[in-house]
Amino acid sequence: MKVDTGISHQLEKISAQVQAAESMGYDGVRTAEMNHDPFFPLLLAAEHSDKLELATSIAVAFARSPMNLANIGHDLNAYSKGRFTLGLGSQIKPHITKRFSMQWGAPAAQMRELVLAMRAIWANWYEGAQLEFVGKYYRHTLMTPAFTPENKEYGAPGVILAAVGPRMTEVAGEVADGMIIHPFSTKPYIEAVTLPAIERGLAKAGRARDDFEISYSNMVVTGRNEEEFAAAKTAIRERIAFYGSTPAYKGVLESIGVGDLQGELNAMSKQGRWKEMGTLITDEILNEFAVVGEPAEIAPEMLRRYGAFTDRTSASFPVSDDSERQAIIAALRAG
Amino acid sequence: MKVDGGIGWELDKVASEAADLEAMGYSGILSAETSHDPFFPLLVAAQNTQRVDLMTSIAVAFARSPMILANIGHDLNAASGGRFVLGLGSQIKPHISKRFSMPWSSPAARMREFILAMRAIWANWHQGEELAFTGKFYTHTLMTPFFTPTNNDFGAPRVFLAAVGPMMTEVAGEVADGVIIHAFTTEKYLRETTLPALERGFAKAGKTRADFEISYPVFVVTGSNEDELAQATQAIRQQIAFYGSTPAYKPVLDSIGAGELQAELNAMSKQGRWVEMGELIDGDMLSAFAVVGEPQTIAGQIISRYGDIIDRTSAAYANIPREDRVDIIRQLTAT
Repeated sequence: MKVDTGISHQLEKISAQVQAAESMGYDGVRTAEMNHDPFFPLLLAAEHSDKLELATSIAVAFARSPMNLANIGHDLNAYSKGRFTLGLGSQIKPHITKRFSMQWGAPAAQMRELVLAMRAIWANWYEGAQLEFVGKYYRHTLMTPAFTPENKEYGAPGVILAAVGPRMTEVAGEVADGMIIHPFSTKPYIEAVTLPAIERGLAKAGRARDDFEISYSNMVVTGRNEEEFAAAKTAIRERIAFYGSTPAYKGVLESIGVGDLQGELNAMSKQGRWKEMGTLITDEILNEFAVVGEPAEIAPEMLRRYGAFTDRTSASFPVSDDSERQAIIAALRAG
Repeated sequence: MKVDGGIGWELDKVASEAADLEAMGYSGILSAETSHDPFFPLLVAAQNTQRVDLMTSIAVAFARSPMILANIGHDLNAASGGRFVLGLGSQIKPHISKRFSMPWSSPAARMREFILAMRAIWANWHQGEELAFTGKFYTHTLMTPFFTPTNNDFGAPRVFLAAVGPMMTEVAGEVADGVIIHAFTTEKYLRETTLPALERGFAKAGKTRADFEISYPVFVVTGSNEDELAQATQAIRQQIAFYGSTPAYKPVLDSIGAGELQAELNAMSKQGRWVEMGELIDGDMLSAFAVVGEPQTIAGQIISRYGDIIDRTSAAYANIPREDRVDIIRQLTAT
């Protein structure tokens, strides 16, 4: 299993962060898109590292034209000598229409088209295929030599999609090179919903599971002493409660027979009772979402539970000691 | 007068290119958008320079959401310590709709709204004003603390707008911090069309000329000997003929009484007669568009013709020795 870690958006700190990530033994670094551009840190990460794989996890796809994403993906992949992966997510309708002032349609269908549009653009640039992409959401029919990148050595980046529901997951299986499973997932949900949807998508495209990389970052509760362990446990219970209050994630709670909890958590979230919400997450529920144990137990348990379907993880390990963390990373990579 | 020089798209060369331009005495570094992302080179340049302005000239505005450009502008301005200038241009309809798959309509009105939308987003981030931008083309009404940048030391970048026609020029005067004038311009057109349009824009916004920068590239024909001068003359004549074949630029030819040439050049361009087209640009026309002479006369000519109009220039004279270029930059920046 490969292991990734996140880097921040503080551009002046990227050089030190990627050097630390390399010396800790991570395979790759990832950025999220929140209040900053998600690509700038990866440009600097490419400059300051030689081996690390670089990915967005995730950039908001529908906030951008497929042409812009094709261009950014090309440039970062060329500059990093083939180390870039474009991780995309849909966000939700209010953010696309009211924050980004962009179009929102049927998200799985729109995402499928956006990825195919980028692939059509790349096929034009790298293989000289005519650009004649006419879809429901996107049309790309004009390209001239002046706008075609010259440096084609490394070609297109990998494209991976973040998905929760079965339709977006199936699209990932069909058109993407991998997917990012949401941390708010349980093994029963992944086995009953996610993996079959990926298989349907792969079958549509005539591809094998080996062509596809699954990234899953399960939650982890651990610590070097009672105090660290208790702090991690409280934080993860609150995080589970926060996600559990979201109507779209009810299916995940149902997978472990606690679907009723969603309504209760949702009502409490509207009253701002965040701390109290965490107390509703019992040890049984916690164990479904998180690997809980001594630092030395974390990697073996992750491999035992998720190793059969997880190719890479960016799980975070709440231990205060670097050598403990290094040991977990090394054990996961060996497994 | 400030003097700007361009950098290329090759990210592994940009660091040394940028440091070299700063050492030569340039006031600013420009990045264009053709076959690559225009912002990546400026992030690299920001890290390898201390003094120079960093500017897109230009980035394609309508290819992007105002929110994306607000974010990129914020990040590059913060990373450069306030040295970033977001230079925008409209491109033309086929490129926006068929290359970028983005909406196009009434470009001057849309551009005005685009810039006002970014300013509303920045006012929300930097001054805490409510985000309630509802325009004809763009809607931005959703922002939460999670998506708000917190490194607000340098605030919003300056925004420059490329304009040729009087409507876009007036929009620049009203809502931008500067205008980027097209190289295909005559002194007469500048004085009789551009400046009055800017003044109308300033009046609308209650601004003065002192609040604003005018950037004009200026065609330069020079060389260290007769051969070089002849080569430069031929190259610039062909470039003028190329631009002159564009229907939208006919008013510029009209300004020097050569409007009928546009149709002729247009017809020849469709037959690929580029060399012959250049021969139609006689000495008087060349002088109307370009500063022509030996290297040591160039700065003086630019200052005497345009010194009372423009604040910065990106005139190019790459064919003469470095010491002559440095001398021109020194003379221009001294005024």
